[in-house]
Amino acid sequence: MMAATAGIRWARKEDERWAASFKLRFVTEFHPPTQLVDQVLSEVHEAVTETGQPARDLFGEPRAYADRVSADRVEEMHTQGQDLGGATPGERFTNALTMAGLWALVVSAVHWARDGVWADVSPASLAGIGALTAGVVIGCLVGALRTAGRVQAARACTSAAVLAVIVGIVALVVLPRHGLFALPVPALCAVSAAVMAGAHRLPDATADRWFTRQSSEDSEQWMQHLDGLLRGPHGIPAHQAHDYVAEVRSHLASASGLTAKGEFGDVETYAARLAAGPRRTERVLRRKARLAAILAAALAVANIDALRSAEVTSLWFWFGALAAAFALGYAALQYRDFRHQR
Amino acid sequence: MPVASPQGAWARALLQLCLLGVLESEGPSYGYALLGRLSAAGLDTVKPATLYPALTRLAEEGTVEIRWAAGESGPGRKYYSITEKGRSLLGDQRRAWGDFKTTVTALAEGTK
Repeated sequence: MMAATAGIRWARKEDERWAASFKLRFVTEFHPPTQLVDQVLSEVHEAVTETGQPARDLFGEPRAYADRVSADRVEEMHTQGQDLGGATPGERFTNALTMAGLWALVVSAVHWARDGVWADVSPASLAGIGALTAGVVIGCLVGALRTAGRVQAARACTSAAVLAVIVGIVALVVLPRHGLFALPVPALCAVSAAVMAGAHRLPDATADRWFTRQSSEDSEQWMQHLDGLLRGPHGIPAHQAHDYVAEVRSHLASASGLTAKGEFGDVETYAARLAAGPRRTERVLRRKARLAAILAAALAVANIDALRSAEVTSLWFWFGALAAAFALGYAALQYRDFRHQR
Repeated sequence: MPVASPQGAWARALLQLCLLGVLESEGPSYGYALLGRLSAAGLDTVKPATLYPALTRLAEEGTVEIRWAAGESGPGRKYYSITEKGRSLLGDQRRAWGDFKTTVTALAEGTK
């Protein structure tokens, strides 16, 4: 049984399953505080025990009930500073850098096992892998900047990362491949492991401070910040975010001497309140569906050679085919969930 | 320690009902005017930071609809008007509020 329901003894198996399904949906989709999960399940248990009726009869479908509780009871104080995936800017950065370090470690280790301790460095590999590394590091900033509501900076970083990757690929193809010097591959493994460990150990709160913008007293900057927060961490479409900002502007124009911060208070709290309506669930599911589709596409591209070879006796073919099929199925399920919610 | 007035919390809890009531009886209106209307009626604890998210929630639920219109000067204004779904919800909430008010009054006055 799951942790929050561990302290509760359900008399009926169907109620136990209902509670597990509710918790799965509530925790994975809405990232509520732990005490709220415990509190809601205790209330459900109390109602079930007192009335003798099944949880499904009293509260309806567990997933729909999780959506309703989220809309009514997940406070904006909890969701502010987080994106739809429940992560802060610092968490986005450290997670991305940890994954990049892990990926570099695996690639270096595979190279070590296959080609030995020394790797020849050519102009092509020096410029190409250098540019690709720069692209990955810049790419690690994108999610953090977006979660901090710095949408334009995130867009600039995306362009820079894509450019760096293109430059890297071109350099690998075009530049000469004669050896300049030899590099010990264990040193590359050590650097990759150090990046991974450093990123993992970096406190999220410290990284948060690098990305988070201070709330401004200037109304124009306040409104710009609001637009970024709505479009970035809260995933509200640009036209709708502009609409909310236009409403703030219209309010301020209604009387002289009004300031955005004076009228609307802290910009992060206001953005969280605007975004806390019933459509938040739809945006959470849309984000998951998009990420699943990107994962499926990435897996298909990564395994394109194995899949195109169509060698059914090859382990790589089946690995690629299964990974792509699994990711595609997962993306289809997420998309169905999103459509159902709409 | 001074005890905080409960009126702010009551106003926040009943804000959507009040907004739907005003929009039904007085027709389409915009945020700043609604704020003034609530304040004139005595709900001066409602701030813009509470009002606009409440209107947004009503719009997302389909109980009000939005129309932008040109302002007298400066930027345009976002007008809210009640929908059929909003009228139906208002009817339900009026009845529920009536029952709730009767119960609370009876309990508070010790007559129940």
